[in-house]
Amino acid sequence: MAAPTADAATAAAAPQPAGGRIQLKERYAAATLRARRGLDRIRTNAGTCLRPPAATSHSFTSELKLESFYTGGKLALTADGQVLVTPCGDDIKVLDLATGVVKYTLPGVCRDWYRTARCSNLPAC
Amino acid sequence: MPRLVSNSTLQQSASLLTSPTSAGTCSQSTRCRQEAETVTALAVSPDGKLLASGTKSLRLRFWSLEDGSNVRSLKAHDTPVVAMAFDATNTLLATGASDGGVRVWDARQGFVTHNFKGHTAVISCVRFHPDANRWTLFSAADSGEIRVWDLIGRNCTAVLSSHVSSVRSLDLSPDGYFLLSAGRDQVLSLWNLRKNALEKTVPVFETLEAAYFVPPPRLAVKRKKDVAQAADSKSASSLVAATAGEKGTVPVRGPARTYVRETRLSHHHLPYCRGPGPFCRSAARVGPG
Repeated sequence: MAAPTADAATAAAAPQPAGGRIQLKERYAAATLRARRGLDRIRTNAGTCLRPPAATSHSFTSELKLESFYTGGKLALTADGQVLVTPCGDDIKVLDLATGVVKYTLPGVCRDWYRTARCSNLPAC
Repeated sequence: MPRLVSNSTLQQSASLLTSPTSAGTCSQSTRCRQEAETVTALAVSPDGKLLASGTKSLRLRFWSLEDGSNVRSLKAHDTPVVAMAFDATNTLLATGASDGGVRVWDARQGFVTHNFKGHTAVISCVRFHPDANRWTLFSAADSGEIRVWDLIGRNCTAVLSSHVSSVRSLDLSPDGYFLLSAGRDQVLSLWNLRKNALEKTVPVFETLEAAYFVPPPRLAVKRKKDVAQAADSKSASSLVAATAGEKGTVPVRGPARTYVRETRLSHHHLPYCRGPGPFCRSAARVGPG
């Protein structure tokens, strides 16, 4: 009776290697348990399948989204060549050429005509 | 029946006026959607702070490029504006309409300073003299004629006609006495502005969309002839220009030498990008290989 308790004490005292084989085993066992219970099952077009373990999956957040900025027509470039102005549908896009980011979208259709006095007195707007 | 229609539009506009929440969705209303807002001309001031845009609905709009706000909106011509250019001082804007009218606007205040009539075809290009003290405006039309306007005398000082097709681009030499015009008739014309006469016509064998003077390229082996030409800066033979046309290449041409260096463009739409951008400068910097 004395020997197993001593063994348990030394095992508790000895530090577990982080990310060792035992931990991976435990995690795998827990994942299979959850999968069996149907918690980690995900639906796809092909049917249900097991979700991959969290340790091996990566999720990405988008840093930059390139949207449409040119549908044809005349362009304008600033004198320093840093900003490109392009017509895009009814709107005009102002593009920063160094980063590719659309700085401004200038609305072609007057959406806020009721706010500006100089715009509201125009017959066509 | 027409009375009913007018009543309904009146009601619609009245409801838009009274309730600002419904007016916020003005883009969905039929009244705003009727207009074709296709952009026909764009121009950015040399300091990069002001943008002017002309649309098919005859609007001329000024935008601030510092915060993206609409500074001013007005009716420019009776027909759509198809060509625009700012002057070197950022205060004047020249617009050319498709009925051949050319107007000069005060870009800060938004009123017409000059109204030039003389062209009979669609204006294809307008350009101020880069030296603001000369008070000169150049305009070209689809008929091929180029007119020189004096902004002080408010008259046309010269009609330069040599092109037989639409003139797409105008540029002035660094000393300001030579005008380069590129047209769809596949020639590059060099005009002497001291005499208002044609100096040289260079056949380029492609329809051109843009042509700009560039600094002369650094030569790997300097010949005596080239050094002498560079020293004589007032002569037309020292001028070097980059052209862009239907072939999708940007050849850098000197009128004396026919061909210096050609750079292949990656995209066939790039020649339609107007303006002396960094690309032209880098193309000129390459020099003969």
